[in-house]
Amino acid sequence: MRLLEFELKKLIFSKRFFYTIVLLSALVIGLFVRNVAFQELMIEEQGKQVVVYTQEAQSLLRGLNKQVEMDPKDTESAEQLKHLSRGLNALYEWKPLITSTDWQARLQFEIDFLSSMLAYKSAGGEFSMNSTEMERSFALNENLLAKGIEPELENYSTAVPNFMYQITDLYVNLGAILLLLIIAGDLLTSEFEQRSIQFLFTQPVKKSAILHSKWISMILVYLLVTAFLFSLTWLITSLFGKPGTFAYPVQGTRDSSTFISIDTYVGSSLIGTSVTILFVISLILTISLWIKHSMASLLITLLLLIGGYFIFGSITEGLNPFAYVFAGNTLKEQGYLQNIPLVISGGLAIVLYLVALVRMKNIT
Amino acid sequence: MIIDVTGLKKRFKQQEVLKNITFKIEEPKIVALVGPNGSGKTTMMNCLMNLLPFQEGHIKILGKDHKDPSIFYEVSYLQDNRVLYGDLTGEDHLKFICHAQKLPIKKAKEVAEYIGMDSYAKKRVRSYSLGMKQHLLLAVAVLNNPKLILLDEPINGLDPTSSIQMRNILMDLHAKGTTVIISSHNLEEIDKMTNTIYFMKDGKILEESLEDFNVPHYTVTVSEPEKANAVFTAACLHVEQSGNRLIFSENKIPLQRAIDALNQNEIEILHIENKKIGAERRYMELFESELSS
Repeated sequence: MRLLEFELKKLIFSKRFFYTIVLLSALVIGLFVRNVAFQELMIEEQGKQVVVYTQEAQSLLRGLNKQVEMDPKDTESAEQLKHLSRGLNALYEWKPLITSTDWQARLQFEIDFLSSMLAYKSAGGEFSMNSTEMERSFALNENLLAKGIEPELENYSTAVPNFMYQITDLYVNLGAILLLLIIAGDLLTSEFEQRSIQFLFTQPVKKSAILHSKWISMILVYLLVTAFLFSLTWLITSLFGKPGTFAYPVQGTRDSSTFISIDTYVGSSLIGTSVTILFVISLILTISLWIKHSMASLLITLLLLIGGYFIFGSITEGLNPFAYVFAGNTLKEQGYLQNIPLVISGGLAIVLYLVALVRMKNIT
Repeated sequence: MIIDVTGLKKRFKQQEVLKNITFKIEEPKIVALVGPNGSGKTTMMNCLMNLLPFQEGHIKILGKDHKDPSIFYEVSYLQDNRVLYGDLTGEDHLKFICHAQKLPIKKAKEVAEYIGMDSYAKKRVRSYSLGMKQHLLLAVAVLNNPKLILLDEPINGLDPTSSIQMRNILMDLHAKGTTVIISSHNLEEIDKMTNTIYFMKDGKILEESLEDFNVPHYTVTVSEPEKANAVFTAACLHVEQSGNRLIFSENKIPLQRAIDALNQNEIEILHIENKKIGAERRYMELFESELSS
């Protein structure tokens, strides 16, 4: 049995790995069940929301009508009245279509409602729905309609790509890093704590080889967990969900008119996360060689990663090596995968690994 | 030269744990390290195996610097069973050693059979009893047919069967030319294995051999022990007294001379018994102050 195989077996045959996989499976299955269970409820909620908007618009309309009757020269109120009437009409058309399969018509009336209400608000009118929220929904619906993609309930979808997007979003925003730290974060420190490192140190094995094998086995465990997670997600949604499309748009957070498709989002965020994982593995191994205490090295690593993400992010956006600690957020904010932070992150992974290698050779 | 240690000094912060230790082992033998807890036995073994750095001194193992990892092709160290990986099987450990030592994998099975652990080799170590873990450690240690094997308290906690088995395997290894360095608190077992004992106290080796004590001793039980003791003291002969028993060393006071002296002084001899001075007796002498406190 080679050293790498030995290290990998230590990780994969541990109770912790088993429980993590069980927990991960339960989370994926639980989330899917939740999506299925709440789907009808969410559609009902949507219907109720339309009723609330309608009542609010009707009340506002009555007020505006009176205002215009009292003062026919009040052009601002007349303008608002015009947009509000259009919005209300769209709501009347939209409501019966909430549960209909004619999603294009439903989307069109929602777009009409949103555009009317945005115009109404820009004419000085007041409405409970937030302008930013309206602009975002408007842009997304237009994009869906233009591409001919049926809309899915955000966060409650059972379509393969949308559920995969939901899982990816959780996984690439610190999730993968946390999982790796839970499974293998103490791969080196536990050896010092339990003195099992002496088992390896009293064999004709180079210390550098021990570090190489630990580094590679951590990468392999990350790949294994990732493959398992996405296979399970695909399997569940394929069996019990609906097909959907990977061209479904993921909206930018900074610019609501920026979209990337789910396949681009999943692919790019996984690339960003994977490079960051290399950096995280080198970082935890380096810290472990100095601190030799599991909890302390895990906490320091996490603090450095989260702190680095926010501190570097506020100083320099384009050169932030921690940018892809929250890969999903960064990707949605930027709208595309940035190479420079990835190169810096990868470079730091190599530098830290070399530092760890020097330290490992001198350690007893 | 199997081991050559010169001027070994080890400090933990301000505390000196090993104080200028020098010794050589030139030919295969069984050497026991005996001393109270904290006397420096494990620290010395860890220094020999390059598991602990030290401040001064030189260590050569089988003619090579002790930092050279290639020494582990010919040297084994049986440590505390915490070094084992609970999630892996005994077989995993042995197969890994086979690979590390560049030995054929079949050797793992052979050694498991030789040690008598083949029935549980495929079980995870976390399910092993203490004895099973010690057997696995021993299997790991003997897998490479070492020229030198160090064992840190291998007998502690073992049942009599396992202790006897462990002793037999070590004696067998020694017979094949392996030098065995064993630290243990079980002085009876040590006596059965060797009379080369390094008594350690406060980071120093007090004595390197029991060979001087390997001469016949005898105990004479007398009716008037004080009077008898006074007779020998007057003749400048050292006799150890324990109750009404006097302990003699054959090379200092031959038995016949002692009998004659006692008869001349009309001291009645009640009983005569042959006695070997073993590790325990010597330990009691060397660590008298600690025992009395």
